[in-house]
Amino acid sequence: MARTVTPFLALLARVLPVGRRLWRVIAARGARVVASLRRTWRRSLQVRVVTITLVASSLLVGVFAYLVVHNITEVVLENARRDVEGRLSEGQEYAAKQLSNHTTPSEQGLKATFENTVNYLAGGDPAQLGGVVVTLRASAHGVAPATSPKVDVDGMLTPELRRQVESGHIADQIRTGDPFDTGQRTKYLIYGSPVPTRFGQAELYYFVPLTRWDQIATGARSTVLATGFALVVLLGLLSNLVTRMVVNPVRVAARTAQRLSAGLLDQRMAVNGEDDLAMLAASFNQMATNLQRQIVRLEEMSRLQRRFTSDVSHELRTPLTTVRMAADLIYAERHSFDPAVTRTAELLHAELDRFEDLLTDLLEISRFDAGFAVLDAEPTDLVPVVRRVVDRMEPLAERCRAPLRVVVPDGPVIAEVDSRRVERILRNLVGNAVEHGVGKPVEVVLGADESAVAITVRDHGVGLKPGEEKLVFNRFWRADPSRARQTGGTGLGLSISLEDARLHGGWLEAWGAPGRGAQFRLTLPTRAGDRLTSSPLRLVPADADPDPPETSGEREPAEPQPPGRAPTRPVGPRTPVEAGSSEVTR
Amino acid sequence: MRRRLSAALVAAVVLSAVAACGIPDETEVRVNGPGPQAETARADGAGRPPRSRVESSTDPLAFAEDFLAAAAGEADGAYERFNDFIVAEKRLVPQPGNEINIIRLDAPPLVTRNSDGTSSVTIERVQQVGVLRANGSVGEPVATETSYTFIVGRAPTDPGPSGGLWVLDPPPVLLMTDTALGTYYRAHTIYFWNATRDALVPDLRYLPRTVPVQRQATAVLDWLIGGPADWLGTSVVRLPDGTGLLGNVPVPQEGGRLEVNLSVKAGALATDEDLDKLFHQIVWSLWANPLLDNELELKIQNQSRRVAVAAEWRRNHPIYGLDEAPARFGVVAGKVYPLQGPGDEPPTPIAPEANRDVVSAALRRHRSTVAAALVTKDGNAFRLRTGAGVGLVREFRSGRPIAGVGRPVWLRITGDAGPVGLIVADGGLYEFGTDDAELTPVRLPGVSEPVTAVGAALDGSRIAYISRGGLYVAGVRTVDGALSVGPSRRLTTSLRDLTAVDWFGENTLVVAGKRGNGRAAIYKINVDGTQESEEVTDIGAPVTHLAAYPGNPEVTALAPPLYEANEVAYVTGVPIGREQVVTSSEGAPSGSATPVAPFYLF
Repeated sequence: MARTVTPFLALLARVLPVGRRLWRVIAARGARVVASLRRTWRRSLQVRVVTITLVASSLLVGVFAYLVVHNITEVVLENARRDVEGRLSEGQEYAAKQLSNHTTPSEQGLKATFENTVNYLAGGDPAQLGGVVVTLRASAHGVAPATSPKVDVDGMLTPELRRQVESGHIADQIRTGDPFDTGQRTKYLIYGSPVPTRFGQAELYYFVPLTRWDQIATGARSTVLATGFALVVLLGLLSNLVTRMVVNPVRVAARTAQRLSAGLLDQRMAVNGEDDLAMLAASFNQMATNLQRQIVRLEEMSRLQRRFTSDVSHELRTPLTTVRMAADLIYAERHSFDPAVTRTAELLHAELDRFEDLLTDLLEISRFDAGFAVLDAEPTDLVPVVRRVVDRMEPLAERCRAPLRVVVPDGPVIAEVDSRRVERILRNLVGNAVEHGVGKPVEVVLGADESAVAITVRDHGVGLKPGEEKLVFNRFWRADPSRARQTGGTGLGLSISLEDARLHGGWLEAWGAPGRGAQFRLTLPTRAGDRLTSSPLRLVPADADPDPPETSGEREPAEPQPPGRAPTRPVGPRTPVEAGSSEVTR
Repeated sequence: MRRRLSAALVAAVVLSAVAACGIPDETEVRVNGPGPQAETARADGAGRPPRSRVESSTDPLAFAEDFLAAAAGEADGAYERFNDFIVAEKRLVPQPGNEINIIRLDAPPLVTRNSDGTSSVTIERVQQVGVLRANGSVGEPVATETSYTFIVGRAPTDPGPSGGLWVLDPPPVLLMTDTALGTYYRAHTIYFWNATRDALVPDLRYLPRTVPVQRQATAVLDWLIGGPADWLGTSVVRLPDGTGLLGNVPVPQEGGRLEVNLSVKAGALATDEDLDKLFHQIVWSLWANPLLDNELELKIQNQSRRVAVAAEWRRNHPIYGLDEAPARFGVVAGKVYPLQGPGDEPPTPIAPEANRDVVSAALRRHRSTVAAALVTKDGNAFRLRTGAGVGLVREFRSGRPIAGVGRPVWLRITGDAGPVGLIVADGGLYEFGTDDAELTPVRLPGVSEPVTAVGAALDGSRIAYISRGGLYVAGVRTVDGALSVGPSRRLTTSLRDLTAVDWFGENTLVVAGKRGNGRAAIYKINVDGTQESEEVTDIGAPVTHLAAYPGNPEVTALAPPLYEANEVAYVTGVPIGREQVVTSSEGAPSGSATPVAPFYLF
């Protein structure tokens, strides 16, 4: 037993992996085919319409054809049956009359009567009768059966039919056979009837070939099938044609719209005829023309504005340099003037510094607007960057009596960033926080995960009013326009920081609440060019949240929004830069 | 996707269903209801077949008698039944035609015990009566043996006495006794039209009693189609060539219509007259059939051509046209007088002035026309005087004198050929007519004269005559105005020295002669000689004159044969006295003469 099982198991073990592999290949290929079909089905309206039309019309035509063919066959068969029944009834009467001459089965004339009767009923010449066979039997009485024409039909006579007829019933059955040995099997309708005689019961059977009836049924079926098939094909073609007529312009419109959206503003649809689709194309074209005109006008205006800003900045720098040199000279000699003039020289020097900064920022902004800004990203450890910025801001912090606190991970936080721009952003954020910190501590936190790094700057100053989270990034925006500028900011710092973050593919977001301070978060991808999906740090500080979440690094959409605050980060697959600028809602 | 798949699947199923539907190759048996019920009635009216060997006695004599009856039954099985008695190695080889030799025994078979336990059965003085053919007719005998011997005993291979007797050494031919014919067969008369197609001629056939009454009509039609018996062949006409019976003649319901369906050759039976004649022939041939109790329908090629109530048809279309019962007449003192009989006695239909010197006479009537033939004495010779008239024959024509003359008979008095009478004169057979008393000789082919007596059948197409002591029957017909006699059939009879003959029925003769003991007797004998019975025996003198009324299905009357012996007329052995002479119309005969030469007028 074991001996026989072992090789079998071994074979099984060898065969199984092969089979499994084969199955896997087949399954994979099938899945591919199915997926491709599914894609086609989803994408092509034409395929859907044609398929549905084909299936529905096939079903309808099939059902109809089935009913028609079934009915025709029934009618044909019923006719054949009635025909044979009539013959049988007459034949039975005739046979009964003929056999009435005989009172015992042993009579000598009985055989002759059998023969004569079937000959008479079969009608003589078998060639002219289409193969009708008549047989008269009285096996129960030991009389040899008589058949005309003389062929062997015993094989076609089923015991069940004989039993029914012998028990006194008229019965029929359809059988297929070749009694004439023509090599071609023919369907026969066999009808049997008992024939009462004086010596007992004889049985009369008619074998009527259904060739003609079968031909009628087959012809009807072929006609119906051909018609149905043609109808289905026609419907398919028709639906294909109609769908194509409708879908093609729609496709063209979709393609054109795609091209338009890709910037090819001179793409237009061909307008053919005057129908609805032509109207669609014409309207589409008109819309495209209007859009194009508007876009071109706006672009031109924007370009002119940017150019003007840039040009003004450049043009101002040259006289400024001269004014600067003169002012520096006066400033250096201020001690030699009377105190009022000294004060003036000092004011002139300070305002010139501010003016220079403003010009620098304006030039930077105009570079961004002109699209000339280039990211010079390289792997950088952000911990020293943060420390450096904080160290630099320490004097300002001391002046403002706002202690700076830094929280960084123990290890290095490496990311592909442009350290100059990151430093500028941090400087801006920390400077803002110190300025608005009203002497309260400012915290700078650095966090990282696999895909992103984040830096938050938290102050505990006056905070932001609802809606200001977004406004803070506008150019020259002030929370309180009446407030004098003490720290010498230009009003462009956060705008430039936002552009820098955008250049990195990162986010710059703000949170704030009146009296509770504000927090800014910079999130950058670890690898330049990656898409951001989440930030390692929370935008809303934990102390501002009545029920803080357990960890940082949560997915932003799940972040519970404090009451009265707008969502602070983008929803959906948009570019983070866009999100950073447009979706921040303060 | 799945939806599409399932839809495609449904479509495929529907399409295949459409493609599959149509007339199926095979179906279950479908019962359409009960069929007609079989009748369980068994054979009625069919007689017992002869005893088979196992049923037969172990007594050699009884066994031998059974053996000599064994062949009786349907012709197809005759040899089989006969051979059933014979040990296997000695069985007869069946001959085509299945003809049975009919023999008459004048004594029971003689059984001689042999020393080896067997018995020799000898039958001596065998009369070969004829051969029974498959068509039921009895032809002239072919065998000439006058004795047969066969050995009867137990078969050596038989396991014990239960095996019964066997015929160990059979006779060389199929034998059956005439008594077996009478016992196991029923006589049937069928009719054929005579040559001029104006009268039906009876033809006697035998049908085994084992054939049920249901099949008799079919058998009769088969006989009609098969044609007449040999000896009638030239004087009657067969059915048209190619006539056949389509199937059997179905058994009608009681009081129903009997349908006869014939196939004929194209062109035959074209006229209504032909159809009527055929119908007439069939109606009369089936007159004894109990199943024909109402209508008979004649179909030709399945088309109904004639329907009539058989009894009415027969009443309206009689065969012989006999209206009245036969009347007896006799010659008293040279004049024809009516004699008393069971019925009316019409006056003598002969004018009184002609009614003289009569020796013998023959009268025959057809409706009101009467034909008379008188043999009158003219010196030493005789002279025939014939005439016809309506009600009364006044005018007679005389023929030439003749030396010796017999009794005149009328063969027929109507028809295209005119009345024909027959008379034996001077040893020859002659014919005459009502308007021609001259005798015209009638040739009898194959028979040597002298002819001594003649009788005419009622149908006018058959005669019986005696020539050289032998009894013959023959068919006659008229060819170019002269009577032509067909081949004669000699009948076997136990009588010898035959002296007179007349027809006693459609198929019966009465014949006078001497019995084996030398005494004169009158026997009734079938037209084929198979059945013979004594009518009158122990007549003191030879019968010189014999007249009878042929019994027929139309007018049945008590009419025993009238005869004359030693110049005394008799009826059934009783002399006809002078007191039986009816003398109402003409005066009583002179002298004390008693009637002689009695005859019937019919």
